[in-house]
Amino acid sequence: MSPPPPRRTPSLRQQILRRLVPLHLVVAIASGLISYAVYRDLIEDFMATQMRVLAESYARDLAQPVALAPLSAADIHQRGQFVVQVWSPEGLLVASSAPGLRLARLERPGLQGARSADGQDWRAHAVPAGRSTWGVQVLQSKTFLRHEITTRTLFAIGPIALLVPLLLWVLWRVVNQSSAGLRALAGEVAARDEHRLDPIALERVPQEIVPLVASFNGLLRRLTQAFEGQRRFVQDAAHELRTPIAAMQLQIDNLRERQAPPPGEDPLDRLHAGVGRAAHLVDQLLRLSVQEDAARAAPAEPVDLLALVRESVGQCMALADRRRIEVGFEGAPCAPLRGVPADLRSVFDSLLDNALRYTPEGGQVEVRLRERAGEALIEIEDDGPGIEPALRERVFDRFFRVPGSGVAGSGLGLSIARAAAQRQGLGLELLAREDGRTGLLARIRLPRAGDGAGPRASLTLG
Amino acid sequence: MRALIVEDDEMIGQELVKALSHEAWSVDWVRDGQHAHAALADGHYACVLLDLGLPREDGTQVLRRARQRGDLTPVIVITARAQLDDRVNSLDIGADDYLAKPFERRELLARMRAVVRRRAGAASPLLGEGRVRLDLLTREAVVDGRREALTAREFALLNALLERPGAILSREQLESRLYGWGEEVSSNAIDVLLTGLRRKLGPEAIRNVRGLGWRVAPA
Repeated sequence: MSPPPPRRTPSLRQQILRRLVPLHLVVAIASGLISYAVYRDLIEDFMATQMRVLAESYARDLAQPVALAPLSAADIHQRGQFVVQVWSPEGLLVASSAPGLRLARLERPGLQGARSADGQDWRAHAVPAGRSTWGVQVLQSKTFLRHEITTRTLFAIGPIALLVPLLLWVLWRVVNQSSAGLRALAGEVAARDEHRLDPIALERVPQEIVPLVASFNGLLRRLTQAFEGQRRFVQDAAHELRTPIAAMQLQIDNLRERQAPPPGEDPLDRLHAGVGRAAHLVDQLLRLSVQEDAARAAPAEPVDLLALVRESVGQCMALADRRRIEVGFEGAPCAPLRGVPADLRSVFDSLLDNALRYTPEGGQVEVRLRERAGEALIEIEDDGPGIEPALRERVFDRFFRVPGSGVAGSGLGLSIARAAAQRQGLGLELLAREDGRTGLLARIRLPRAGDGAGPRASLTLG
Repeated sequence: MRALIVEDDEMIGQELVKALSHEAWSVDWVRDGQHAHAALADGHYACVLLDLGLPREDGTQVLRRARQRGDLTPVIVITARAQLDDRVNSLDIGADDYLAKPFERRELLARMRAVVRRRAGAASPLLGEGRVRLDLLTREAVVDGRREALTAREFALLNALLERPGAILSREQLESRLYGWGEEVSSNAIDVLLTGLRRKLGPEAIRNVRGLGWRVAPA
């Protein structure tokens, strides 16, 4: 049974959206409703008291004829002024501050709702005056009351309504900033590889994830030690192997000294070649491990490519002479570019050595240096069997050797070249010859600094 | 002539004894640093082969103490550690020469002869490692043991080519080494010199690398 796929924890931003936004909305709505209820009770109670006091004061003095100043519609409906009506025992409206209002005399005394003939809703307080059946009614427009309550409520919840988006905006910023910190941290972690294992600086890391980063730094430290241990092991092993190889070499030389060479092929020659091959392999191993020593990364400097190629060819001429291979060069001096000479030499030497080993005896190796837009190209072309396209990537693997080539290589030269090329940000391609003949064309592309594709910044800075 | 071998590895030690005995050296072999001190103190050796990785006392220590005592016996350091730092370090503390494992018997014997000759003061310094060398005192070329007199320009040209082993020098580089500022150089001056040199040293002694320049054949 396969385990269920791990559920991804939603992002912080999603969590904030999902939880805080509804919560804030609910709180805002609830506080609006509560404010509305509170203001309604407050205003209605206050107004009811006012209406009762007013009605009773009119009812006390009904002996004199009452003269009431008429109110405008705006007074009644917008300013909420009270309408007073005085009714005679005969049921006639003797005085009204709103002459146009048509509202029947209320049957019941006290506070109540009423509706006028024009469809307006009113709150009313009716008082029977003395023992007679005179009556006083005080009315207030419900339109005004509703408007008043709504206005008050809105004023009360206004600040809350403003606060919610402000709060969300602040939260959003905080989350964005901390996730930007996390993204920067992720970039730092992604920049670490076997060549770069320095600890991550804790200064700009958010406090909450400092323990995580500290543990990660611990892991980096242990990795560094492991890599270092591995490098030291390879170096020690290579050094230790040299002693028995030296002993074998001396034994062969001593044997050869003692007996006259037999007619035909001397078996000692083949033994000698085998020992030579073991020595070459040990040398390459050592070079590889020394090269991997990140501490040895030298600072970049302006490099004269032609001089470097000249040195490289000079070093390889011993092998060329032994195998009677003609080495030719074509190209002009080009403007210096920045790089680490040791690494560049490592790339040139390895590729040239490769070409000289795989070209048949008496063959030809061509080295070319030319400039193209924004980059210098170095090409090394040989007469050898070439490499099938399917294998051109695999030959960079350590100890991989093209099957059936029969050449005494170590299988390390090209991986040494590639490692150095990668450190320097160089392009390294193996191609078929462009003139249609069999052979390999190794092309090194050296980008000019300033195109943003120069040697890796960490190396430039040392 | 007596040689002292300081080597803890049995296989190498035995083969070295065989190789040197065959060349008429009389050989003493010690296997650690303390015995090496004792041997150096009472024997007069023409040459010492010193391995650096020794039990009980490191080879570097043996060499340093011997030099502090004023012992001037020629010492060739033999070691598996052949990084540049190791080589420089050994030469600094007083080794006469340095040989990295593995090495060929011929080369070892040649270097032993060379340090002995040098210590005896009999040999003038020779520049170069291959077939063609340059005697810096007599200003003669030495080809397969045969001496050839050189003109001043020929000497300067060969000197430039032999200064660094494996060096390839372009026409411009050779001209700037041979001729002063403002000196008129005819376009075929270098070719004329090279033709002359090849006549004296043999046609294969100085070889052209097409497009890059000239070099001295290494062997």
